[in-house]
Amino acid sequence: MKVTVQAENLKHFKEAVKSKCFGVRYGSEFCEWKIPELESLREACGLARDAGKEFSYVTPRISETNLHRMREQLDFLDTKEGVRLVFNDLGLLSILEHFPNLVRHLGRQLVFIPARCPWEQITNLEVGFMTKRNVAKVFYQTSLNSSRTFQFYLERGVTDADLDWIPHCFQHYASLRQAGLNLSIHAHLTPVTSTRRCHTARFLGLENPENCNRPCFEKGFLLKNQTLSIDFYLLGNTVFRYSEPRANDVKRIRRLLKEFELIVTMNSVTKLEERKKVDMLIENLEAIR
Amino acid sequence: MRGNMPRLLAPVMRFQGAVKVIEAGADELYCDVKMPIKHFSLYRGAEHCLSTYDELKATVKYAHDHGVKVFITANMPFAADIIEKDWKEHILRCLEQDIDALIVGDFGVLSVIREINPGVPLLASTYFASMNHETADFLRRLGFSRVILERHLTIPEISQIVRNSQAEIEVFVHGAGCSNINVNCYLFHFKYPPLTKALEDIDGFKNPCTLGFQISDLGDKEALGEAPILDAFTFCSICHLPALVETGVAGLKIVGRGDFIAFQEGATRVYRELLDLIAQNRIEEFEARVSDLKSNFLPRPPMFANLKEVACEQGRCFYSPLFHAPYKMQLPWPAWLKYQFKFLEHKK
Repeated sequence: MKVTVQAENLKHFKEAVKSKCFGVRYGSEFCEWKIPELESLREACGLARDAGKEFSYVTPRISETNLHRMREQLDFLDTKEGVRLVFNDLGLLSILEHFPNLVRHLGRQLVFIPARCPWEQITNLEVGFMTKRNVAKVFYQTSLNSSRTFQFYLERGVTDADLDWIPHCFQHYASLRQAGLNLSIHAHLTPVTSTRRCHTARFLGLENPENCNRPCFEKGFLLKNQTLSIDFYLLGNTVFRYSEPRANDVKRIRRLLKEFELIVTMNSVTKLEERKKVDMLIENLEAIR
Repeated sequence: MRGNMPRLLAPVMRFQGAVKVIEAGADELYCDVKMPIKHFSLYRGAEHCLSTYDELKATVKYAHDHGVKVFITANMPFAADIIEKDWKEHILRCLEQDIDALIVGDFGVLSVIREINPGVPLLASTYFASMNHETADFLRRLGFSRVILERHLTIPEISQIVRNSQAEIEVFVHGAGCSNINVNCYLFHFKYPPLTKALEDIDGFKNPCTLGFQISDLGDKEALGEAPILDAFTFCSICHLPALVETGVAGLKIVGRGDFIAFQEGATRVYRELLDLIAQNRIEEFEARVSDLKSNFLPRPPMFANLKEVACEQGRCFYSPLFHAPYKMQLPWPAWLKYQFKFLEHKK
């Protein structure tokens, strides 16, 4: 298990490169208005190289408005050795055909996992035991567990994929690993829903995406609804649910996958905002045997 | 007259609905048939589908007799090997009914369909979340003749995509405009009883994103009040029709397979009338009619609320600014002030 730290701003990234992690990720996973400037990407890339860390660049879904910015950044990244490009947009996968040096890493917005749903339909009392069992077989799979979908991405040079920390899904992750896919699993935060009509921005009264002052770099919100009885965490335009990796699950996934990358993200929800905390988490995770 | 105008797509859930929307002026219909697999509604329920393949056959026959095309929404955003056999059978049965195209939203499903019938016309579902021309062209190269864009785009962006892409482009204009990116939203499920109960309590809405949430700042644990913070639901775009037509899109889609037939028919009739006025360049009449509709059209029968109340007054417009907030909640002023100034440093 290699631990990689993901950060979407330079402040966090500078902490990440100093930590004991194996690799670092930079960029915005869910919001195109937070795509870093090219200068900041150059700096991050340089910091990672100086620290001897494996570097991945994370990108969100991209609208027509911001497409040109991606091309500029890919031009730069393609000149570097061994950079992984985590893409969450099919247009970007298409563009990547022109950038052969970049490792194509499938982002989790392009991997459909029914079990991301916070209210598991298999708990429905009206459903019989056998049906429940059959539904569960599908519910905890990922779209990549369809051999056809897997093949589709394989043919397009995808070698790596992002997934979520959903312990019920681990056995299905194992079959992807056996098929040769490199897996990166996000600890803590599972995306439940995401929007372009940013929930945080609308809540705070921000009017224009281009002038957004990026409050989500530092602020997150806890959302509670009594009836739903599940806590949600709002970070920018995306709603997450949070789950702390339990020791038994860490042991199990190590046993099942043998080799994988665990992604920990620095933000206000995970409370990982400085190197010390990241190092402490890495030590704790590595101590689980 | 309708030659260069976008085609109007109407949702259908019953044969009777198909008859009504065709009379109302739909150019194309889209629908699905309940799959003969129990409890495999991974994402949406089977409630929004035609009941049988015979009903589909009758619908297709009626539509074709009236020069209207019928598309089947085979757009499950997920394929799994263990349901492939049933899925194949479903697609085959649909194709036997002489449908005109399939709407597909997953590469696994695409592969199955290509194996069954390589020649069947395909439309790329909004589940591919196409937001740029590179995605549209990528899907076109895979064999999709038309690409349905994600809902959360502005009119200038749509216009650019149409200009830059080789694919036919279709956009949403009316009905349930999701608060979130469709394929990335896992909030919507029928099968959780407490959720169903909560949703029943909200008049006129069905989705968890419309619920109120207690909001607290994670940093200082400050409670900021309760608001339907996830609600960015949009509903209507009649005011923007001329601009949408101007973009050159090939199709305008009304959402609402699960809605009442009266909704499907009413929305189709209104959009047909307005599109015809635009086609005839009768813009003054168009504007007068839009103004009249806002006061007199009841868009969500059996609710007795006019378009102005359902959409305009709440800002539930498909093509309003992206960060427009439809819900009404004032942040307490100290919190507002804090958020306005504290993060200016991140502006760059």
